[in-house]
Amino acid sequence: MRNVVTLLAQTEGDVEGGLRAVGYGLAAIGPGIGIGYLVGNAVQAMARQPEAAGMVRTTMFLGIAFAEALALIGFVVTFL
Amino acid sequence: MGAEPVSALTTPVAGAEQRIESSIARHLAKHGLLVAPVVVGALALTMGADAAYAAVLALAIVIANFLVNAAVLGWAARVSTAVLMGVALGGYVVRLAAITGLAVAVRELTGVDFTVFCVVLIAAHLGLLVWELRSVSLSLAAPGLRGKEI
Repeated sequence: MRNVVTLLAQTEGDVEGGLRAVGYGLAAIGPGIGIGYLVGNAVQAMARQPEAAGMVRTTMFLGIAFAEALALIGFVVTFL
Repeated sequence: MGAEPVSALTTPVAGAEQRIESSIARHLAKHGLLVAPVVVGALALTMGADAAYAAVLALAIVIANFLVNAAVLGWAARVSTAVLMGVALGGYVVRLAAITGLAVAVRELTGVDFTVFCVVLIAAHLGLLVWELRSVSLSLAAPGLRGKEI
């Protein structure tokens, strides 16, 4: 009986760890999609209006960093 | 015998020779280094050495992340727009994996408060970005106001 309880407790821990990893993976998808949109539109903007490329790159860099913050928040929520 | 067709694989981004991303990242790093002694000192006084070590590690990771991102994006912009797109997404995945690996390593360290590490990681990332937004928005709104500094 004790072995069964130990096994169940171990399984519960494994499942919890797996669910955390899945949650982190799901949390990283959103920023990935956001960065894809962001960079795609930035490249399009730079192609359409090359003289504004400096401004577009500035906002693109900051946008990527802000989107990345979402993934970091997902990571922190997962691990804490 | 017309002009050569423009290719997204070989044409650099317009004005790619300007190190825009690196300039922003250096500015962010400068702000981070200004804030670091205050944050680390405050945590050392209130929560002890474990929290201070955690803050140092988190700030170092955040600043390194900005600098690496800027260097890679700047290089990609000088190569071509297609490479810029690939590097932006691939870089996100690689940097996130690296940060996760580092954080898992930090969690295993004794003498480092992991909760403080996580909180400082998020707060420093967002705080430095918001701080940088102020100067960037000022530069974009009035380009002549701040000179060369972004």
